[in-house]
Amino acid sequence: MSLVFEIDRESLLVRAASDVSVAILEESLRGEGLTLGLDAAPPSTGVADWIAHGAPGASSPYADPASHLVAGFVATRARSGEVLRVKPSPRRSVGPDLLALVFGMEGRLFALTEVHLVVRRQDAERVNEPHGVRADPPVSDAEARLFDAIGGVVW
Amino acid sequence: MPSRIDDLRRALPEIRASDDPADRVAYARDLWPRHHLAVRAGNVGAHRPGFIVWPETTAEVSAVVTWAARTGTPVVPFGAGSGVCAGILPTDEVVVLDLKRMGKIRGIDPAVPSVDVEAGAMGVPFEEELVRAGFTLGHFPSSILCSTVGGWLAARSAGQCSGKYGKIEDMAISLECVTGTGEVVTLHHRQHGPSLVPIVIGSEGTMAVITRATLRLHPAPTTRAYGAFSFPTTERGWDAMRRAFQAGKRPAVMRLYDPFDAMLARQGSVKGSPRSPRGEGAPSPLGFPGAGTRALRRGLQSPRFFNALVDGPLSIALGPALLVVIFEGDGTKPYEDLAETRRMFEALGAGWEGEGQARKWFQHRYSVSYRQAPVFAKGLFSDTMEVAAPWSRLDAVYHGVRKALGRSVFVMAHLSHAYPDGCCIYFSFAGSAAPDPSNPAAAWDEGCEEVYDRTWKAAMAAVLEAGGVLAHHHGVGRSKAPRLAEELGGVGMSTVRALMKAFDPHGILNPGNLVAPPSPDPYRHDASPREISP
Repeated sequence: MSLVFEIDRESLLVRAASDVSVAILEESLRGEGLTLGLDAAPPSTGVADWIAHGAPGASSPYADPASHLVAGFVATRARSGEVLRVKPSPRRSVGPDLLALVFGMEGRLFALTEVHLVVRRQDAERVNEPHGVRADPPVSDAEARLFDAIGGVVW
Repeated sequence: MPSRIDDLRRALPEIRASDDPADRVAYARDLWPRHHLAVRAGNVGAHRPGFIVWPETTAEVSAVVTWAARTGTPVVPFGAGSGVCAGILPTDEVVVLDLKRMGKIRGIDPAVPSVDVEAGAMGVPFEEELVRAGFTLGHFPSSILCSTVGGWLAARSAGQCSGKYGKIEDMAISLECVTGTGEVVTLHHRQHGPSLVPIVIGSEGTMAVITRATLRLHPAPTTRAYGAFSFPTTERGWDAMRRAFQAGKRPAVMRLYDPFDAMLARQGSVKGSPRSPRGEGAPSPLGFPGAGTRALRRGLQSPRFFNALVDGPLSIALGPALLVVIFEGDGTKPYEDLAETRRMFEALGAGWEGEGQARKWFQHRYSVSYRQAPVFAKGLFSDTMEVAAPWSRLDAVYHGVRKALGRSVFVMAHLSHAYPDGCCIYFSFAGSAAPDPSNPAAAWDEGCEEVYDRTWKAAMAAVLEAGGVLAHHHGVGRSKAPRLAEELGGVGMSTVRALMKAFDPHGILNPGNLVAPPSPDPYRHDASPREISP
């Protein structure tokens, strides 16, 4: 077992440090009969950078609504260095989903230091519900103003 | 000095508004069970809002919020009032913004497929209209008869078919919202981020008023395959659930009942028709066949003994845990999935019980939520607590919370929302006040309130200690807010407050909700009659 990640086989969760390469992580998981289940070749970038850029290559969340990619994380506020911990859970209903301040945000507000990813057994049936949801619509001016407002108060 | 409603009427004469006493009482609370104790005691309207408005368009919502921001008036968005966490606890300063007059389906896009719907759409007519068009949202909360699309989104709701369709946050494609400044913003989900949709979902009215949503649809199922299994223990049952989801099975429904809950389900006393007779021999509201109110009260005054009895000597008589499974979809796939699941479960030692229990559950799937009022009418109280955890922590959460609850109330559980990495445990409990021999005149309802508060305090501490999350789909409201800092940590809480400030710089949207200390204090003593000024 590497020092930079550990596997919870019962929950099929892997806890990985921010700088472990997605490709190396996938290779190690495959040695355990597991996989991240990406649609594209795993990048060599670190897990934190990958999540910060929206996890390119990961399946659409609409393909398997009962699963998800990130179950929990630890991140530091970009400016103050304060630590935010969101413990792993399959789903929660405890206010806004703070992962949205990390996922695809390119590290503007928080820097990931640790992440709990959901993995799959390699022999598991692949769930792929067809859908036509547009992947990445452009950010409107009104959304951009909100992002700016959040940037002004969150860190 | 003109009242606020007069000021609003002058500023926005086209918007329907009322400060009629009956309307104010009707909007004084949600369905937090603690409120029922106050109502039973005769304290019906202690938390009345100042007035209520019923906007019909997003522009009207924006106008009301803009007016509220200018006048510093707190605004509480309101769907159908089925929340159970005191997310609605008005004061007479508050204007309640009821969205139910905004309930239209604006369009269905069959290519995605998706639906564009206004936030005030009520659950059942909304789903019925989708089915007529050949689609389903796949979202069937127990509250579907008395809840709205906007309420589902605001509370991060889950439906009974979450195993296939996910929770409401898994269905949202975009949200139209009105922020605390009155600005109308459409937020979009983005596969690769960034997106503010997950921030507004679950914000419980504190960041924006959700006015409209685009939700992902599925083709309406043409086939359902039903099955039920028995397991010697609850733990063996959830191990089977885990294996099924991790093997890639996605049953619409997979519900595991612990032996007591299973006994009730098998005899039909909880899941039976709400129109079943209440005559001689009819089950009591709590499902104890033939149990009289006095005996029930006495039993629930000794919950430790009652729980020990059920877990010990009575456990053999109760029978095994029950797992209900429903696959749905098109063609023969649901039957194939059920057959494969049956092979998997039987290899794990499960007993096949046929399809009857699953069909019965499906037929009566919304009945149980309407059994609460008779429990309170008998002088007792009941409530539910839905928590979630990774599979590896489920055992600690299940036993830790059961133990904490069991000191004060009778407790049973079922597991009804499973995922590859974990599961939700849904605890149901019933309790009673303990009579005070030194003060026989002590108010019964106040005694129930004291036991109720003690119960929740212990249970919330137990779930956090065991590594679970406080809520899976009911939300936080004001009732769980005192523990939210332990859930999210100090940085998490300060981040939530900062988000509130970004969306609502004047702090007018449901202020005091979702933060600690909550305001107004939800745990003030309410279960005693008091005179209400008009």
